[in-house]
Amino acid sequence: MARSFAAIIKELQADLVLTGVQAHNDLDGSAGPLLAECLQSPYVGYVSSAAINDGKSVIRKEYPGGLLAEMEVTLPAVLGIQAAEQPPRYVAVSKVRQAMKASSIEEMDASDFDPSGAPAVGRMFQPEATAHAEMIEGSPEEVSAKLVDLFKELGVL
Amino acid sequence: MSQDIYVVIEHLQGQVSDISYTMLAGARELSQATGGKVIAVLLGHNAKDLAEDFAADQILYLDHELLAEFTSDAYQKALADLISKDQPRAVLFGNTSIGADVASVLSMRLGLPLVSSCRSFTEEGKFVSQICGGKIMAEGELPSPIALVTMAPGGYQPDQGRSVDSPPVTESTVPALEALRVTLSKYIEPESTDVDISKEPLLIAVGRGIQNKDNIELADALAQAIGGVVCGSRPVIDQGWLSTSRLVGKSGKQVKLKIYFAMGISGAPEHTEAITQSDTIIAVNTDPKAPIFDIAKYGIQMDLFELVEVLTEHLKAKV
Ligand SMILES: Cc1cc2nc3c(=O)[nH]c(=O)nc-3n(C[C@H](O)[C@H](O)[C@H](O)COP(=O)(O)OP(=O)(O)OC[C@H]3O[C@@H](n4cnc5c(N)ncnc54)[C@H](O)[C@@H]3O)c2cc1C
Repeated sequence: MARSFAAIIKELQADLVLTGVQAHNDLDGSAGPLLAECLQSPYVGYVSSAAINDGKSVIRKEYPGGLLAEMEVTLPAVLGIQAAEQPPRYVAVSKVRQAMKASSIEEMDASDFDPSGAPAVGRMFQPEATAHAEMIEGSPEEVSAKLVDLFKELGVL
Repeated sequence: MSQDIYVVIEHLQGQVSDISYTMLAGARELSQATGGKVIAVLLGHNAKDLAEDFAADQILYLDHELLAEFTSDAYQKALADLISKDQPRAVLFGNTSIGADVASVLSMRLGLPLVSSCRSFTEEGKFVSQICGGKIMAEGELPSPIALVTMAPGGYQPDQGRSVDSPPVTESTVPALEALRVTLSKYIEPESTDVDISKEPLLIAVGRGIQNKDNIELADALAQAIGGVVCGSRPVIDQGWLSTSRLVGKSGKQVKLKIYFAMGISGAPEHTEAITQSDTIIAVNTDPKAPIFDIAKYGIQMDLFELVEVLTEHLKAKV
């Protein structure tokens, strides 16, 4: 996929390409960095804010524990987006309709798929849960009473 | 070409991350199948001291001013050079903000196969990766000639990768790091806030199942009744329903506490990797198949909105 995108994006001469940091289905996270390398562009992922300033992109990259790194990335570049600065908003259906009317979608030919580099998977299976929770059953009243007893047992009440 | 397993050590602000030790433990298992050595690869500047408790057979240290702090471009250049020269059997990276910026790029640059989100290796040296948010595992032969692998936590304990007698450090050469396209300007520390959830003994955690900001009150009331603090999963924080300081998980805080009471949280690996050290996890979820029930000690399959207020009243009556 990255190779196919790269062929098209090269033609478009994009300055900035944004991808998600992770696929929603298998949570793999390779499209962005693979694409960047195909385009010979720099890549930074886990990005939660980006601005363009003087031919450079000033980005914020997330690290664990809420730590952020501010980095400068020369353009053209590919960024893997983790989250937006603002939470996503719903767009009114009327606006979506407007956009559908006003804009057109141009189709482009993708080059032949070249899947080399991906490892072969021999077997897929559901992980065996080493344990499963002990289920507390009953009505909300009954469950609450049992939880209160449990909290006492655990020494927090 | 060797049978050695290289582990790219991750560190931030002078602290080696747990994933580095998890990878060293994984590399040990893999090396037993390949018959090679476990080699820790440390990149930094004046950072040799970080290499003091690695359970490795050898440590390679790459020192350069421009490697003082992580940037994708500099790490890629230095590691591309090292991997091409040394030709190890496999190179392990964290499936993290650091490793994920490097591994895939190197796979394309060097034309090497990449295995993502590997959790463990089998005795025969096969990789076992988690896909679909940890719901499915994918197993396969370690690809040849040099496999680049990103590792997710969960398969090994970090302590398995620590050792009191770390091997001596060998310095390795660093290629010219010119014309770097990514530079670090500064770190932005998380705002210090009211509470530090990593120090709390009891957390009431809410996930997307809480539905909206107004409903956070319900969790707050429960937390008050039992003497805990409210925290949340990523969607809750991304929506602005709770502040970033309350985020638990891969991009938030690790917690190690007495009781973790999770409501409306599915149990994605990015969330659960940060809570498994807790004594008792109790989960409330309408979905009997939610993965959170596989790591929780106690589970309640119920609509959280049916339970939370009743439970709060019960607690108030008892305290
Ligand atoms: C790079 C990266 C880093 C990440 N870091 C983090 C992180 O630090 N922390 C984190 O949490 N996530 C993180 N994530 C996101 C993670 O992958 C998951 O998307 C997230 O944890 C899911 O949150 P959730 O369980 O609240 O939501 P969902 O997965 O949507 O689950 C909601 C759950 O609520 C249940 N539910 C719905 N209604 C009710 C009800 N009325 N009563 C009871 N149960 C109900 C549903 O059955 C479901 O199981 C990260 C992702 C990426 C890509």
